[in-house]
Amino acid sequence: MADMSPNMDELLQRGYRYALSLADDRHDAEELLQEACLSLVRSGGRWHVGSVLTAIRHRFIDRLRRRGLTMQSLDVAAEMIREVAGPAALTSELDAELERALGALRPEERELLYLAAVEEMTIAEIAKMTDRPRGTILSLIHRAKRKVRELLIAARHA
Amino acid sequence: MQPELDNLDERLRGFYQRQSIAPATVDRLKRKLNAAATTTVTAGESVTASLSRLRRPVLIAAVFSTIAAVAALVLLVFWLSITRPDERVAHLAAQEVALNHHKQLAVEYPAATIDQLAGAMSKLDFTPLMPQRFRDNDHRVIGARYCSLRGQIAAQIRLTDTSGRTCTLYEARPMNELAEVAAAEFEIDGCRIELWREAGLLMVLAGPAHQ
Repeated sequence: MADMSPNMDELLQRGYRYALSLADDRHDAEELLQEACLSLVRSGGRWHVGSVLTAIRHRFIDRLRRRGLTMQSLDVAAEMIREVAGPAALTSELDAELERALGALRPEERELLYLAAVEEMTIAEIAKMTDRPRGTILSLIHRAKRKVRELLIAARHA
Repeated sequence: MQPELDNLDERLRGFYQRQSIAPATVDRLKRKLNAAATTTVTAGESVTASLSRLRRPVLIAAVFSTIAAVAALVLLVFWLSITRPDERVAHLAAQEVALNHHKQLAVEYPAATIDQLAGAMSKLDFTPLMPQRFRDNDHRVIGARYCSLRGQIAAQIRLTDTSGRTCTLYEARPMNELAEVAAAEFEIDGCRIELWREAGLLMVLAGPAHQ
């Protein structure tokens, strides 16, 4: 990852956006961020983007496990998360469209799109962070983008 | 394909960049992290080693937060030592009333007289009444809502005077904590708060300062 020493506010905002990509709910994302940061403090971990994102990811997986789910049983997880997700304040109709499309993705798909497009991580970096083969990641990203495009087109014609 | 769909990465970046937590939430989180860092250190780790892991802004924020917390504690102890329990409760009640007065919540029971309120607000464990000082017809009742004062059910009655200025009157039974409260007067957040006892009730009047 490029920036390893951003200031704390920026680090927290980046962590929040990543948590949002996983949880698809603003309240859940804030909670994930808080739990992850507290665990970092308690474990005496180092503060940089990589450690914060990894801590958030671990907390999210912990939550899924507590619900008897895994990152692989994601259709169910997405359903559960959507159940608790409330309406959000949106900056524009385009954002609303995109948020709805992202909400229809599985958490792992949103996560990969976020890491690739927003954090601009390489496939190798994503593979290391998520512990998945590069081929799987490429295929998941490709499929997720296609799904988002289809949903956006469908929304236009609805 | 629409152009914006070709540029999905850019759209995703824009979307996520526009998502952020409120500055107040960030501050609250940083305070929690500082507190947790302090606890971790006192739990046995080397202070120097632990603090060196934190970035400078976090460290500075932690130091200032600690100083602020200690100062607040000293002020609190000082305040507790110079005030009597009834004054403290009166002050806390006045703070609660000032806060509620500023919220200007809508009345739940519109009424023209206090007697109408007495009939409508059946959950109250007392009968609201017009204080002696307002029986000169200079003040008109607008309505009321239920509220609580130091955890006790109260009536929050909105009144307006002949000049159109609004004040809020709280009436509650002086029980539990409130039993100790006697007459007092405060100015809090631009509000003048007056507490007094009348006809077996505790009255608290909130209005603009220098009314």
